Amino acid sequence: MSSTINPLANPKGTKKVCELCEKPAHIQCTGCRVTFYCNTEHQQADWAGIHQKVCQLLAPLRTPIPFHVLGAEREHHRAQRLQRQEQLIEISRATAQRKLFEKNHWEALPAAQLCLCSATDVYGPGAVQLVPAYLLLAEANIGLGRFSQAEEYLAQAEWIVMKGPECSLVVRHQLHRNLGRLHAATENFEEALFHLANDVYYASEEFGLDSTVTCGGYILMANIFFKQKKYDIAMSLCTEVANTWHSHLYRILDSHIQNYSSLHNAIDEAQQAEADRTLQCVLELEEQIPKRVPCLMALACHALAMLWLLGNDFAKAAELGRRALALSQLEPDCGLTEPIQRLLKMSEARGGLEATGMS
Amino acid sequence: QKSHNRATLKFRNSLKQNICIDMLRKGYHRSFREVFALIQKQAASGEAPGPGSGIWQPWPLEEQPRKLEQIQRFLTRAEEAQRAGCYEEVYDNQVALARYFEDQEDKWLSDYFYEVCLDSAQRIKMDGGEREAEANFNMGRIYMEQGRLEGALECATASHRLTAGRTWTDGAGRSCFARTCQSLSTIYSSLANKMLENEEHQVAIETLLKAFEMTKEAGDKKIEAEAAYRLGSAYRLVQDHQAARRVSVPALQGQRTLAMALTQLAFTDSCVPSLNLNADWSLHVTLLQGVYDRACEMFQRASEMAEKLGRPERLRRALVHLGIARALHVTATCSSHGGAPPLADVPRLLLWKDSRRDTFGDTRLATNSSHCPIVTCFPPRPLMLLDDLQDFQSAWCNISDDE
Repeated sequence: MSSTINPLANPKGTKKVCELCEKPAHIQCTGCRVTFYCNTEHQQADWAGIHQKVCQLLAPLRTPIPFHVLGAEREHHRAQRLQRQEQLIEISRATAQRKLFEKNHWEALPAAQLCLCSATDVYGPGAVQLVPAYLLLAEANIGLGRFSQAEEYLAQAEWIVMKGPECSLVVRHQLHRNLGRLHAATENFEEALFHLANDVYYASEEFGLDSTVTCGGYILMANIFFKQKKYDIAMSLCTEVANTWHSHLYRILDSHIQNYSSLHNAIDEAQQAEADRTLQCVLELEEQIPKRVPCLMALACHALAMLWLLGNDFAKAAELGRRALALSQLEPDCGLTEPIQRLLKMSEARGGLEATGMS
Repeated sequence: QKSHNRATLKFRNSLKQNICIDMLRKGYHRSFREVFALIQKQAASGEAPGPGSGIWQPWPLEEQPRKLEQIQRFLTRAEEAQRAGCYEEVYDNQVALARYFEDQEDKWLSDYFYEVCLDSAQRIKMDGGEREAEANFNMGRIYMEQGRLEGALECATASHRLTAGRTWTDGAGRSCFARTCQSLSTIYSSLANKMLENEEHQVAIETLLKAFEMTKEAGDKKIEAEAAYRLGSAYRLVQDHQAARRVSVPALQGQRTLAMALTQLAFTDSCVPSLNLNADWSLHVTLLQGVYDRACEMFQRASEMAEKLGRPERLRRALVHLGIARALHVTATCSSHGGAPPLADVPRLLLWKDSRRDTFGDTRLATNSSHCPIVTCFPPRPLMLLDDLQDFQSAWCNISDDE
C-alpha cells in the first residue's frame, strides 16, 4: 500500500510534498507511485476521500511528458492529457459534492482540494472554472467550523466572479448560498440574509420559481428568521419549501405510477439527500415554534413518506405516512388525507411484497 | 466597508434585481414570487408577437421604477397582513394596486390583481361577504371585457347572491346591489345576442326575460326601458306581437329610450289593422331620435291609413311629416358621404346637387363610385339641404297656423 521514502534521497530540484498539507513527504502510494504523504494518517484520509477513485488516473498525469518526435503525436498526447485532466476534475468534484450531501465534510476536503489543484493546472489561476472548487472547499470548511479558511476561499471565489461578468447564474447562486451559510454560521444575520436573497434570485432566474433549488436558500433563510424570533416569516418560508418539495415528489411518484415503472432509481442520491435534509429541517423548525401548524407538518411528513417510498424504504415510508395521516386528520380542509391513504396502502403493499420475497 | 459594498452593488445590478433582493431579505418571498412571475409573464407575452403587435409593449415593467416600487410597497403590506391572517387588509392592498393600474397601458396588471383579489376575498369571513361581492363584481366586469361571458355570468351571479338584501354602497355612493343587477342584465343581454345570432330564439327570449328582471331589481328606469325594448324586438322576431306590445308599453316610462320604444309600439300597432290610427304622435319622437329611415316608413303607412280612413287633414299632416323625415334622411346620408374619407363620393354629391334625387341608398351606384375621379377640394360637411329644409319648415308652420 505504502512505501517509505527519504526526503534526503530525492533527486536535486524535485520536491516531494504531502498531498494534503504540502509538508515534506515520507510516504509514497505504491498504487500510482506519484502521490506522497507526510504520514499514514494523511494517506488514509486521502484514500478514503478521493484517492481510491483516481489512483490509476493520476499516474499518467503526474509522470513527466515523454518526448515525441512527430508533431501529430505530440498533439495527440496533449489532447489525451487534457481529457484525462478534465475527467479528474469531474470525478473529484462529484465525489466532494456527494460527501458534502452526506454531511461528511472531513472526507470532502481532499476531493475538493484535488479538484482545485487539477482545475488550476488546466485553466490557470483566476479562471472562472475554479469557482466551483473554491465553493466546495468553503462548504466543507464551514461544515467543519473552520470559518476563517472558508472565508478565504469564498473571498477568492467572489473576486473571480466580480472580475468575470460572464459568470453563469448557477455559479453566482452557489457563491451567494455559501456566503449566506458562512455568515449564518458566524451569526451575522443581516449579511447572511442579503446573500441568501441573492442566492434565491439567481436560482429563480436559472431554474424557475418552482424549482427545488431555490428551496435550499429558503430553508436557510427560515433558519435565520427563526433565530431572530420572527416565527411567522420562518413558517411562511417553511410552507413554501414544503409545498415545493411536496409537489415535486408528488409529480415524480405520480408519473412513475402512471407508467407502471419500478421506483428504483426514480430519484438520484444527491436529490434524495437534499430533500431529506430540507424536510427534516422544516419539521424541526415547526416543532420548536410556539404555535402549531398541523397542516404544514402533514405536508412535510407526506413529502418525506413519498421520498422514502421513492428510495425503496417502505417501512420508513409507512411510518411517516401514518404520522402524516394523523396530522392531516387534525386539519381536514388541507386536502391531504386521500393521497396519504393511497400512499400508505402502496407502501404497505410493497413492504409486504419485499418481506415475502426475502423469506 | 460592507455597507459601502452594498451601495455599489445597487448600481451594478439591475432595478429588478435590487427590488427582488430587497423584498427577499426582509422575508417577503410571496411578493418576490409575484413580481418575478409578472415580469416573466410580460416578457413571454410580449416577445412572442414582436414589435408592432397589439400586446407588445415598448416599456417592460422591469424598466419602470415607479410602477415596480408601487407594486413592491402594496404587495409587501399585503403579505404582512396575510402572515397575520388579516385578509381584509390583504384585499384592500391588492385592490389598491388593481386600481392604480387601471389605465389602458397596464390593463393586464389591473386584471391580474383583481383576479388575486377575488382569491383573498373568498378567505375573508368577518365582513359578511361585502369584499367578496365587490371582487366578484370586478371579475365579472373583466371577464365581460375579455368576452368570456360564461365566466362573467358566474362571477356576477355570485356577486348578486351576496349583495341581495344588503345596503352596501360603493365609493361613489351607488348601491352595490343595483350595480350588480345592472351588470348582470348587460351580461344576459350579450348572451341573448349571441343566441339570437345562432337562431336560438326561445332560449334568447328566456335570457332576455332574466335581463329584464334584473333591470327591474336595479330600479333604473332607463336601462329597464332598454331591456324591455330588446325583449320586445326579440318577441317581434318570433312574431309574437301581443307579447311585444305587452312588454313595450311599460317601457314608455323610460326617458331616452322613449323614442325607440315608440317606434316599437308603432310597428306593432301598424301590424294590427284593427287598431285606431294614432301612430303619428309617436313618430315625432322617432324623428328626434334620428331613426329617419324607419320614420319615413312609418309616415308612409300613416298617410296610407289616413287616406283609407278618409281624413284629409291627417293625411296632409302625415305627408308633411313624411317630407321632413325624407329630407332629414337625405341630409344625414349625404353629410356622412361628404365627411367620409374616400373622396370619390364628392362627384356624386355634385351630381346630386343638380338633380336633387335620393340616390344614396342605391348600392349599385355606391359600388361604382370607386371609379370616379378624385376631387381635390370639397367642403368638409356640406349643408346643401339647408334651403330645402327651410322650405319644409315654413310649410309645416303654415299647416300649424291653419289648425
